[in-house]
Amino acid sequence: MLALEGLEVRYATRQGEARAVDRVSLALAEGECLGLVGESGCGKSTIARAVMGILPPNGRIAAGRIRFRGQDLATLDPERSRELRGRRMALVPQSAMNAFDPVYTVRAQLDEAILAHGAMAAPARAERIAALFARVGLEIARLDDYPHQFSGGMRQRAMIAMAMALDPDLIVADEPTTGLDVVVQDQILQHIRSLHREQRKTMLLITHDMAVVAENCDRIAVMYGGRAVETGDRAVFERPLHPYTLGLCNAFPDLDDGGRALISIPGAPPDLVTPPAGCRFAPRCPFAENHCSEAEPALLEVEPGRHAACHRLDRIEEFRRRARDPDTWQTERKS
Amino acid sequence: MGGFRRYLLRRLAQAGFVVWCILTIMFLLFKLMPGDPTAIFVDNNFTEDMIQRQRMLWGLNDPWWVQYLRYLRNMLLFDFGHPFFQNESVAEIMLDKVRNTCLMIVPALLVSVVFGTLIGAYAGWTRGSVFERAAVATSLVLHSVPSFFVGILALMVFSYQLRWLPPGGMVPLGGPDTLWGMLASPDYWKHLVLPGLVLVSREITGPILLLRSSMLEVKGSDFLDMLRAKGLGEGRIVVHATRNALLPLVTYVAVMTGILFQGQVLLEIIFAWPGLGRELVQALTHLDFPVAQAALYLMALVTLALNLIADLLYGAIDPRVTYE
Repeated sequence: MLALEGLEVRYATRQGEARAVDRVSLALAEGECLGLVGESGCGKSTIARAVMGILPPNGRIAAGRIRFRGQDLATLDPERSRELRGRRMALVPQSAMNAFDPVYTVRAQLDEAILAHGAMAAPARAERIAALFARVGLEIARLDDYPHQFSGGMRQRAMIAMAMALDPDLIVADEPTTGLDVVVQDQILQHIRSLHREQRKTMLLITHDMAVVAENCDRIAVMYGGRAVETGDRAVFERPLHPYTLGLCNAFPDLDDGGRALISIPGAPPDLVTPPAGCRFAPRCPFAENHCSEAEPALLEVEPGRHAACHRLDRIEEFRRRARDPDTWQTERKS
Repeated sequence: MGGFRRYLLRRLAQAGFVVWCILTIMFLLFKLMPGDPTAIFVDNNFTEDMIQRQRMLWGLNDPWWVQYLRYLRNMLLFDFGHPFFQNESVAEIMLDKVRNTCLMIVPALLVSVVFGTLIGAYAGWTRGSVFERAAVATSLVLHSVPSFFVGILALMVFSYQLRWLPPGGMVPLGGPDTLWGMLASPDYWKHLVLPGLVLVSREITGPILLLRSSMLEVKGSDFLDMLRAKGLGEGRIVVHATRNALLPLVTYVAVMTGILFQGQVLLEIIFAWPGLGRELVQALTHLDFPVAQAALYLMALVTLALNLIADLLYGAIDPRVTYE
């Protein structure tokens, strides 16, 4: 249903063109939920924006295709693309706090989302909006409030209601729980989960929270420095194939093993204007060898449905063992 | 709404206090002015007796606090007395002058705000375009050129050289003298073109520059992405952005109107427009105390009222403003 083929997105910056997304290929079947995880700046939100067709003015799709129901979104005429947005695919945005226009009521903004895609009589619209609001558990009386009168969680619910306004096929949720407190996060995730499980929506869920992905997604793609470094099903977190995924798992608390100390990955994400040669993760990878900084590893199928881009897949058992040891991550790589 | 009522009452009380301050300062100023009003009013041939009678009549021999209280009462009742050199009461004259000044500044204000907003919003939206750069450059130039210079230049070219437009005045002698009569008279509009355009050429720059920068700020907002994501067309998105960018303009327009109302001395003199500013200057040069006092007082009142309206309007157009 949705397929990225060698997608490359670049941002014009003062330092030069940053390759925020570099040759990423991913496929999403009907009714599936794909989770994109990675650090800030790894290109996951850029993918959401590229799919939704809302890249900022300094961003452009430099290469590749985004196939959605047989059309290529990368080259689609702007008016056709506008017609898809909101109707066939909808966004649940990163910061619900600021995603509503502050000077219009919530009702007016939901109304507008419906009207953007064709006329509908006012009573029918009011009825649809009330139903949407009820479905996300908001009081209908609050419809005529302004966004600032809503709490963060209410706003995000209203955002989900708005995304569902025209019953789209694809939901792109870009860090939908950022900035919400834990209890509210859980409620929002339940709504998002029900969109996927009960209403059979295809979903692209972008987050840096691995627990969220592990709980909700059928398939997972781990991104690093604009590249997809590992893809697969839930097993990605149970038996990682890529050293970066190992590092990510170390950095997140584990409910089953609460006593485990968290280990962070030293260093910072790579510069995307002049990315490091070879494997992008090599400068931070405790297992990197000289070869890693020379040639870029390809994303290879390791097991059925499991892909990873690492030169030393043969030593992964050893890496997994050593990754548990905090000292492994402490040693600065000398290069 | 209880909050709003409290807020309104507080603002009104504040305004009342400011009015009192202004009146008191004015009283002191006019008291400190050199010369005795009777010295201006009376003729050299007046006897000392007649002068004393005049002083009595005006209450100038009363103690200062009696004079002060009487002055406060008269001002609050808009009873400005009679001018030294004209027959009508000051209140009547003021009404005429205020109307005439409004006949010049209101049309110019409307044009400036409407077109300035559109130009500024578009310039901000298309940042980096030729249009934006031209709009900013032109605005800065127009903003810096003194209006009396533009005014005299316009007079020279369009009145004296090309003879397209009348050189000054508002309507010819014997023309209409009611508000509606003037608005219906082509003469008024012909006389308005030059001073009006000179005024617009400077006043339009404020809304242009303000809207442009305000738009740039709004352009970075997350909600614009969301509008795009729900499939709105570019036109609707610009409407949303402009609606948000308009908020600071409200206060600006109120302040701008106040300044326009009291700031037209130069233009009114250059174009011989019988407005409040010209009247004030004439009154001051002739030491016509009652007229000068009334003109200053009205200017202060208008500025105060406009600021109050701006504050109240702000709450009406920005739902986030609360009165707690």
